[in-house]
Amino acid sequence: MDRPVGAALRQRVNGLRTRSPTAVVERYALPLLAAVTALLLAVLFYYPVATVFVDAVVEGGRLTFGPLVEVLTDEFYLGRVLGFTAYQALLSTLLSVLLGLPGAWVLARFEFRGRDTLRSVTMVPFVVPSVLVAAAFYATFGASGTLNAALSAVGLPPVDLLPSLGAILVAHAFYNAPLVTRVVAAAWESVDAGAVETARSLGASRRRAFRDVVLPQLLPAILTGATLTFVFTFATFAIPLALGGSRYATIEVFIYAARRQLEYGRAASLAALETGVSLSLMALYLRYERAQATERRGVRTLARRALWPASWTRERIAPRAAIAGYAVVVALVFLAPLASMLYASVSADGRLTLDAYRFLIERQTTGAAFQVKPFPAIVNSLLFGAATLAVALPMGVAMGVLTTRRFHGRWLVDALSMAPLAVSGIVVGLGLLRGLVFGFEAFGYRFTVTGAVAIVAAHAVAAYPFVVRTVAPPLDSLDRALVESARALGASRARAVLDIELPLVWPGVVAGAAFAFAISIGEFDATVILAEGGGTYTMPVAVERFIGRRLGPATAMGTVLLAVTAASFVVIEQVGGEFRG
Amino acid sequence: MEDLRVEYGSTAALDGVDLAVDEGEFFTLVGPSGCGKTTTLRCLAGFEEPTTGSIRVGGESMAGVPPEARGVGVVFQSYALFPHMSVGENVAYGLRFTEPPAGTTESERVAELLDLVDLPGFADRDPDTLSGGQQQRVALARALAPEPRLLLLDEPMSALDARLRERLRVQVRAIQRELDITTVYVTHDQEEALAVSDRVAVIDDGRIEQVGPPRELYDSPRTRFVAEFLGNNNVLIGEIERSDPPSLRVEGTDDGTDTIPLPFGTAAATPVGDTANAGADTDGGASHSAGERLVVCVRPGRVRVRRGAPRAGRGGDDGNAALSATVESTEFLGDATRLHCDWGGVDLTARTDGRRSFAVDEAVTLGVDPEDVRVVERE
Repeated sequence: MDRPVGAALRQRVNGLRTRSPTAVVERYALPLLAAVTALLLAVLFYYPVATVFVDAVVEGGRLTFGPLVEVLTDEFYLGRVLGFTAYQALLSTLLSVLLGLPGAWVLARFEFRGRDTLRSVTMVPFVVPSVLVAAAFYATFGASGTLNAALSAVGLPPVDLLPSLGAILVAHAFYNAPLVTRVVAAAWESVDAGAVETARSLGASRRRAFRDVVLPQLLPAILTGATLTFVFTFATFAIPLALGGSRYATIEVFIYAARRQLEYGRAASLAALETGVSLSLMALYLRYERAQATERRGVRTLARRALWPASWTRERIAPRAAIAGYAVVVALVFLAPLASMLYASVSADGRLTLDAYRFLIERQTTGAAFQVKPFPAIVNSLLFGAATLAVALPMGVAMGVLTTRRFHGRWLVDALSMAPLAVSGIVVGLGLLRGLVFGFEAFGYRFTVTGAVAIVAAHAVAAYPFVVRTVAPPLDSLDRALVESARALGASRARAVLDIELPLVWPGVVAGAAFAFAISIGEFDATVILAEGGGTYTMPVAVERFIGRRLGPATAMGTVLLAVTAASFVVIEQVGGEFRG
Repeated sequence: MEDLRVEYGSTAALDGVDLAVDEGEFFTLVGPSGCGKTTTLRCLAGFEEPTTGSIRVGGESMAGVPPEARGVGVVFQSYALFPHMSVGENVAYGLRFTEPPAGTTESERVAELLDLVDLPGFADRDPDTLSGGQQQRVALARALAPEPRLLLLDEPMSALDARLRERLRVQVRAIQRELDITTVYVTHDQEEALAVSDRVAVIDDGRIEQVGPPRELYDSPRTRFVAEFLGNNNVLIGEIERSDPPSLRVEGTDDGTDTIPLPFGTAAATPVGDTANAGADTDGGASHSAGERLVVCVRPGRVRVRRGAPRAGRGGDDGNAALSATVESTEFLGDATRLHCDWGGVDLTARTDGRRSFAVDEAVTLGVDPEDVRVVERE
């Protein structure tokens, strides 16, 4: 048959059939990237974590379960340590939910200038280095902190608030209340106004409609926020280390102590125990989340009221007065510590001075070899951050692209790739130390990696789920027909990613990059395990070394960390914007 | 293009679909939502792999050929214009992977296609600034730019309003004729399917019900589904009664109700079209005998309406039925009035001139000619 129109096309089809090298590369680029990601995860995460579990049950090359049994039968570890860890996590969760819920209400139900900004700001605490929060709380509630300074200024005796459980709980709320706010506000905004109006038209009062229609849709989100908070605070490390002292030590602090005493069996057993609890909770949560998942489209959100009403009536004043009170609490919890830290770094004995920064410079020039110096800490932090970005960003994007398509067994891939979220940095660091830094034998060779490589590995593993989380939702919401149109027009799958998907989700990619970098810069848990005794310490490690010895240098170092983190955000935004064109 | 086969496994959305589309043909897949028509199209485009069965384009197997190597142009319901590219860049996208036709440059080709879809000078525009109809025409131009062998249209008009839809489908059909490009069109709109296609395949529940030119499907539906799906229809089930001429006693009618005349000579052993298709060829192989159950249909437009009860005696003079009925409800459609009538306990719809109006409960006589009664299938 004569094919005038199809002739050129036939050529094109035949051309592709013969497979030019670039076509082959393009066609297999995505599967290849996925395979590399899987391999990296296996080597950098699953193998090290497995080592920890093996350490917990193997003694001298024999399967004895000795270290694990020892910990599990020890009243001190099982009752005191595990019990306290769970107890403080539970209290932290309660406090975070209490502090976070009003925020969700304000964000979801009121309209005011800067609402969108405020919503974005709720992401910030999540990337604030935990050590920074510790330093900030130290500067506020410590013996020579701003609180005591304020008390003595009005003639009251000083209070001794550190170490205390309360400080730990508030510091945890600093992190997790905004998380609760975000998750619940999102659920609140996806409540269909039509459903509420239907309930009202059927005779339900406002209160009743809230209870019957809105609340059931908020509860899953509250549970999500609470579960994540519990998992995170169960595996807390830097905050109790800095604010809790030996009285309020969590399981992670004991793992760290065991590692410093080179008691790897005990460290591994505690780590296995903790990871077991965290992973079980996470698995339960994922199952629950899957059961809850429903597609919502075209929902009309509830109308927001103006925060500053046109006229003031009694019913309007009450909620707004409550919001004002809430704003004061928020300022005290979130802003006061950071402000105290900045103030403490430029003051001593109630007068302004740059002594703390002068100390840092002196330490740099005259410090002994074993002492932590500021400059290498900054350089290390930036280098590790850049390397983390280079590893975590492609991994996260590849995983994001691959997991947006529905396929059989996707939940397993999701769970396996998100597991690093549920395994603490201490455990990953311990595993990397035992598995990779101490080396392993394969193919007759002994493989070891340096501490720096292991630190980057730990950072990348911790950061990449956040890249997935920022890239996958916008990818998921892209019209499937966009990629299919590109494919039908001749683009390979990889080309479609480059030409269509990435440009359209670019803000998500930039946000993911900022996240990855910030997480690397702020990472403390794995770094401190891996940097012990070496020259690979980072800014957070330096801050922690100063905390408890000298308030000034600790807060000054914290301020430097804050400045570098903020500057990196700006740079990533700028570069990302330029790259997009 | 010949012998295009799609077969699907046991539980799948498609169950043994077998189709052949001719070169240069405008072929439409029509059916209710979820019937598998879009799945068929997605298999053709290569977005989905059939579990079993094969697809061949121009004799070449498409098994394992990725979408980008199939040489198909696809237009989606959502237009799917790349929002970060201008109209011109959208149209030119496919030319990144294939040479423009001999003797033209990329920009000439873009201009040529924008002319073709009647959007000259739109190349620098942002897709967001275009109306739905314009966006859809850009999507069409983009799909055509690399000279595909096969154009696939997946409900391309569904997001547009009715008036625009009619205009655009005329335009699409004209372009298809001009380029002589083989086109597979998917729609749930039976009117659209009848209006534009060379041939139509009616699909239901993953199976092909009937394939043929629009007129043949409309006039001679071979399954009850086709009879009901394409246009309005009175579908009646009944038993052949021995009488002269033969007629159908319709199930559900009260005792003493008239019967419907049948379009063949005698009740006993009268040959009709194969598998009860009594449309174009009434002298096929099969035969009908008294007592047999049939599904027949009568188009509402073929039912004549007269005011008042039928006159004494039964039937018209030449074997036509004169059925006594009462009006249950009326719908004014502008150029026509549709009457829903109760005929001895069975609903019959008639379509009559829009100038006539009837009252509810009014007694009417419905006239049906035997040649307007189509035998759909044996039950």
